[in-house]
Amino acid sequence: MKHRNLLTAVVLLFSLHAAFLPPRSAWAIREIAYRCTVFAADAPIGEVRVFQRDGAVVLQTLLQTVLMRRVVAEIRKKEEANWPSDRPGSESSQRYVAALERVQRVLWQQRARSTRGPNPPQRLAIEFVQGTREAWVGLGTFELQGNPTAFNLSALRVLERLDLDRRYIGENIRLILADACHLDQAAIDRLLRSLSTGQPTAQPQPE
Amino acid sequence: MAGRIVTLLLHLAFASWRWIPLACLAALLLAAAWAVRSLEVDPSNESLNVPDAHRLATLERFHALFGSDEDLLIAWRDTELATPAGLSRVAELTTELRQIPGVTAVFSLTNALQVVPGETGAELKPLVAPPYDRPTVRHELEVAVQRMPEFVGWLISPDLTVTAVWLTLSEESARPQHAARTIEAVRAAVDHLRRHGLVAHLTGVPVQKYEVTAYIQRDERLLLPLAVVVLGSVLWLHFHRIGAVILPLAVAGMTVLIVHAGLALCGIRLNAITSLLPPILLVLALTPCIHLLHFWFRADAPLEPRERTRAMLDHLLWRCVLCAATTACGFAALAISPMPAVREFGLAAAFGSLVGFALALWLVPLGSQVLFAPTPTTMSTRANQRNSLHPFLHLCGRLSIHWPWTTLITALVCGVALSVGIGLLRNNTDLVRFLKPGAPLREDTFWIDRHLGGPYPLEFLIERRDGLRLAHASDWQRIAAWAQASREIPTVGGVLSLADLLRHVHAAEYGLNRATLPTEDDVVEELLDFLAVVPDQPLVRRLISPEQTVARIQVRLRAVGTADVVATAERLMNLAQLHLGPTYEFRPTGPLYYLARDSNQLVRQQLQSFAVSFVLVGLLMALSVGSVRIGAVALVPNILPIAMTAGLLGFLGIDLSTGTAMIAAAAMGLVVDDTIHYIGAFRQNLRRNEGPFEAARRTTLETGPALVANNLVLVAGFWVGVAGSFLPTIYFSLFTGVALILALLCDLLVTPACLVLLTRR
Repeated sequence: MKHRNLLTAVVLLFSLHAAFLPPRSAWAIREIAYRCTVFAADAPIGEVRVFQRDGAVVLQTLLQTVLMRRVVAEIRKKEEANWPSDRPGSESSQRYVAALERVQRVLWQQRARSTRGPNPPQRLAIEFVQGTREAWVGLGTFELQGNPTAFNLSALRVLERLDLDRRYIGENIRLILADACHLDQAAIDRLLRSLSTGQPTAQPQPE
Repeated sequence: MAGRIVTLLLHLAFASWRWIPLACLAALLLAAAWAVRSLEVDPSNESLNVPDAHRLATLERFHALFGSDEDLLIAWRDTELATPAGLSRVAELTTELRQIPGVTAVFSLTNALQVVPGETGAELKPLVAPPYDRPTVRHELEVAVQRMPEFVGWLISPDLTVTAVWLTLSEESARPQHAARTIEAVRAAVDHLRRHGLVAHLTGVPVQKYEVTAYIQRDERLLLPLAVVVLGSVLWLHFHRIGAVILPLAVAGMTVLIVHAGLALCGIRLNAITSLLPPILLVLALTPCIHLLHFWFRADAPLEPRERTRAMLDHLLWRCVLCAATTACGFAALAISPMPAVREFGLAAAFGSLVGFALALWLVPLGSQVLFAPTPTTMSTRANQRNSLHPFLHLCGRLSIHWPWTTLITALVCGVALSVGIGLLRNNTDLVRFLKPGAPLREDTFWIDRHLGGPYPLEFLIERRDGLRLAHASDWQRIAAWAQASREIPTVGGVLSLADLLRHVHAAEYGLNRATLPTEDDVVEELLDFLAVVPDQPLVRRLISPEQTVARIQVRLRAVGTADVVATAERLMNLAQLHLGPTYEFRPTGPLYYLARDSNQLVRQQLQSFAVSFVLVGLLMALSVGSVRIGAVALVPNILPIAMTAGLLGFLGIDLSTGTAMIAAAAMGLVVDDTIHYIGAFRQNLRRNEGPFEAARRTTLETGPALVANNLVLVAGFWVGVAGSFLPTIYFSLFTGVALILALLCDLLVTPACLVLLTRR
């Protein structure tokens, strides 16, 4: 009887603990299938990682720099080049860039200001998510644990979510992998196929 | 007391055991010679720095934030500068200079960056990108210089024909012991420009220190032996005895040796000030020797050596004691100086004057009775000398005795008239102008000043008193306003601060037509963030601390002396108060500022020490003669020549510097001896009931020759310095000699006139 009460109490405690835990967050990643470092003017400013979450392919870009406005301007430039107004998906691109600039401004306004020493970098997370039924872009910020250059995510806060055209998302995932990670189309195909089949794949090599 | 000392000295000269103390002295001299071997030279002259906690803290902070502040500046004219060949030469030299050990940074046209608008904001790109073999290179350079006008005067002349390369030396390599190697390596690299028929000019505070130290050392090596030769020659001309040359010089040499051994044993290293000790000690030790020898050759002294020695000591001991005491007091007054080098110099010279006096009293009687046994020949020599000086001394005696008021008033009028020039004196140590015309450093510095404007960097640190980052728009608006006002000062050649860079980054980042400073704090933050991560950091790191809390501002001054440097620094500080207000701390720093401040302080301290020594000497003389009135009167013939010499310097437009400020102290220590000897002899004659007129006449005729001889020897010794290569050495030597001649005239005219006026009632 005594043991049963104790067991009940333990179960109850575990249940309570589970109840108060935050819902399974977007950053809870089991396995990153691929990652590469993002450079700006030869300095590492972030990481692009590809993984599967809840059956969806996720391309997550984590950027940390004090020059986020310039990085966003660079993204705009690339988006405009990749998605001219006459190309299907350009509307999604425009919405994405507009949201990106909004979030960047929010992050700039919310940034920590240093009283001594240069300002800490702003952190921008961009997720391109392509599931079986939906495709969206999540924009937000993140926190890291340990060495800031190792990109061990401890928290991710989504500030804006945009449901966009599936083809745009799928194509942009490929474009980003090719641009940021220097992967060729074959390597990208293999990587994305392995994710959709759930089969592990060898780490693709950049071009 | 005096009797006992005379007895002791007689024993030392005549007792059978006199060789024992002499052997001890020989042993002491050997030990001193051995000790002197370990005497080190401090080429860094750190003891010239006044220990100042605030200054040290500022320097340490500066070095911690910005690294070394020791800059060298190379400039040359190249009519093909804005061509591929000209720019390639700049690039080659830049690379070569960067490889010299100890050079931490090189800034030149070919590694300077300009801020340009890019696709996503401001970008840094080379002022002129290599390779330079394209036809548009001149146009590109012109456009870049127009965009960044701050480079004009700093790296290039407005007509694009003169360029400059700035080098920063590491603190270690800028130290004088290493600076020679680094500077010579820089010179060797720069010499390669000669292959192209170009002449490079090199300047900078490290070069100044190195060159000036080299000049001083070169002068010492030349002048000390020359002084010994000249002093020996004058001694020989006066005494006509080779022994009378060797004996005083030996006493002087021993004094120099013992004092330097003392310095070595105390662990004191020779520096720019203490290295002046040998010539000073030489003349200090010679003075008592000359007076003693002079008595020895007197015609009316007893012929028997022991009696002659006794008479000599009876006659001169008290005066020599007083002379040594006043000289020692005069030099010991320098001990009040906060500058270690000056303290060491003062105490060593005081010790040296006592050692020289003791050795002279011991060795001159001993040596004289061995070398110059009194014979009628010695008497005839003396008689001849008296004859040659007699008309002059007789005239002095007549003037001062028969017309004392006229003599005194004439001397005072002359003194006052010349002293007016004191008001024209300026405390100004200008190391470059101190070099003779034609000296490479002088010519190079003025060349750079003429063609680029402002070869001397004066550093300032600005930070907020609340310790926050300089990240407010108002911070940089105020700094820019201050810099703009500073550029109006005639001695300022240019001002470089981060405000200039921010202006250009602002324009490039936001596509503005004009480079203006931002007015919003957020924009300033953004620009500072950009500057914190731009790939090429040397220029940014030169202008703002890594924490962005302290800004460094470099003001390039024209080739001016310390007076103008300090005055400009003060004016800039006043402008800072006006434009920056109390929110900011604004501090001048850097080697130029400290060099200027130290030089001016050194001169002020020498003058203060002179005032203290003057009072001490007056007191000592008053005590010795037992009369305040006579003590006060004794100061008149001493202050007059010094005031007249100082006035003369003023009228001739010669500034007070570390060299010329020493004239007063050196002259005072020497001229007072003549007065002591004169008053001592006068009082002795007065005690014989000769009356003031006869006592004065006899004193002038009897003591006059010794005073003339002593002064002639000293003047000749000092005037050897005129052959020096450094103007302060020349001025010091020349005008100390002038002061000694004036002092001799005062002692032969004013002193007897004053004494006659005082005692005739």
